[in-house]
Amino acid sequence: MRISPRLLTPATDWVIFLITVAVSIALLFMGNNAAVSVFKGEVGDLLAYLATPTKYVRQGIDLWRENETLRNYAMNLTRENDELRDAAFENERLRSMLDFKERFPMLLKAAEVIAYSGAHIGGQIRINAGLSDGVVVNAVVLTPQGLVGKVIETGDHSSVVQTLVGNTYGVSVMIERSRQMGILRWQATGEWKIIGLPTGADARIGDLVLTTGAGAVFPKGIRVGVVSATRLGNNSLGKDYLVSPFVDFQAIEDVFFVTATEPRDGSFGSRTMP
Amino acid sequence: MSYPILIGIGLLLLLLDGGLGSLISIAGIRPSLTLPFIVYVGLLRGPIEGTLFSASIGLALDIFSGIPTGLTMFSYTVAGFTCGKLWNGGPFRLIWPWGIYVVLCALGVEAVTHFILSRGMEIEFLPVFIRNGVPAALYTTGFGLLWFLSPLHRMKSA
Repeated sequence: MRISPRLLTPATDWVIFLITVAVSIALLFMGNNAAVSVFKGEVGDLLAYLATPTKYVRQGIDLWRENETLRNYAMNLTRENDELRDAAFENERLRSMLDFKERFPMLLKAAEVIAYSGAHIGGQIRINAGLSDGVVVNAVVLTPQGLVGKVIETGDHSSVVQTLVGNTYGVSVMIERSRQMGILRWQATGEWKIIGLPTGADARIGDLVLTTGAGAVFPKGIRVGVVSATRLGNNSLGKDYLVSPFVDFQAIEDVFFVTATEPRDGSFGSRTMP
Repeated sequence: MSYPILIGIGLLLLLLDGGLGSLISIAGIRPSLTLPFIVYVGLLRGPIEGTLFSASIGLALDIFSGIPTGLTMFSYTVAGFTCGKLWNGGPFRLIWPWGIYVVLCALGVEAVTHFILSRGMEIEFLPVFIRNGVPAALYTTGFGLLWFLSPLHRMKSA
């Protein structure tokens, strides 16, 4: 009786040999013989030494994974930070608007800008309030910073506001300090100029410019901007007075529109906007 | 030679090794009666049977003799496999391959055993190997040659 020749392949004898050797080594190392334990320890040390390079590979992989995790974590933190910063800005803006609304003498309603349009950047904006919210054509639109413009079209739930940029209408304004009046108009050069001030008008750079209330559209006392420059006019009759509006028309997010023309406390017209 | 006979001889040699081993020791040098047998099986029956027989006998020796389990099994397995693998089936004579294979395997087995045990006892390997291992290997080889020359052995080609 002999082992079948089919089993006697070159691989079979090696497999049997290696398995048997592995079993013998396992038996040797599993025992608690004191003589073997020293040898086992030395073999363990040797294997640990031989495995040292794998430690660096493992550390590299761990480092890579940790880096990946931290990168994701940092990304999430950055996003969260951005959201918090946005929320803080929004909170500040809304607080400012709330404060403004409480102090403003007329009834106001808030709206959000949902689109920019018009021939000029910031020239027209669409807000998410319409007839159903009490918006009417010529309703005044403003922010806590100052005058934005007026409604020129209105639908049920949205309206188009013509800002002071590219406006075809003039706004009756006055220099707060000297109370001298003129008409504020947007110029094709991208500037705002007060026209109609008398020759030698008392207007200085930095003077506050307010609405006068004349014209029945814009109530009196709404802040518009400040006199930013004076220069000789083209017709040599006097000076041009340039105005820098308070509102950044390209970055408007929330606005108010005036829903009632009557003063809330009956004192409108005697006060200026905060 | 059939398996039952091989197994029977293996068991008999195990018993003799355990029972007579101490009686035939000289100055503490004790021969192995089973090692020539596994060399014989390896040379005549090839690596697979050489491996299996040597592993079995080695394990039995470990269990019965109190040597750390697996130690003799390991060294015998290597010896049995090597004999079966290296021998190319040429003429089977007293000195070559028989005597040479037995002495080399005996030296190898003694070397492995003495190396591991000397590490455990924290003594120098080479002196104890030369003092005990080499004589034991030569003693074992002597038994192997005696067995080869005895009427019990019937020469067969590998």
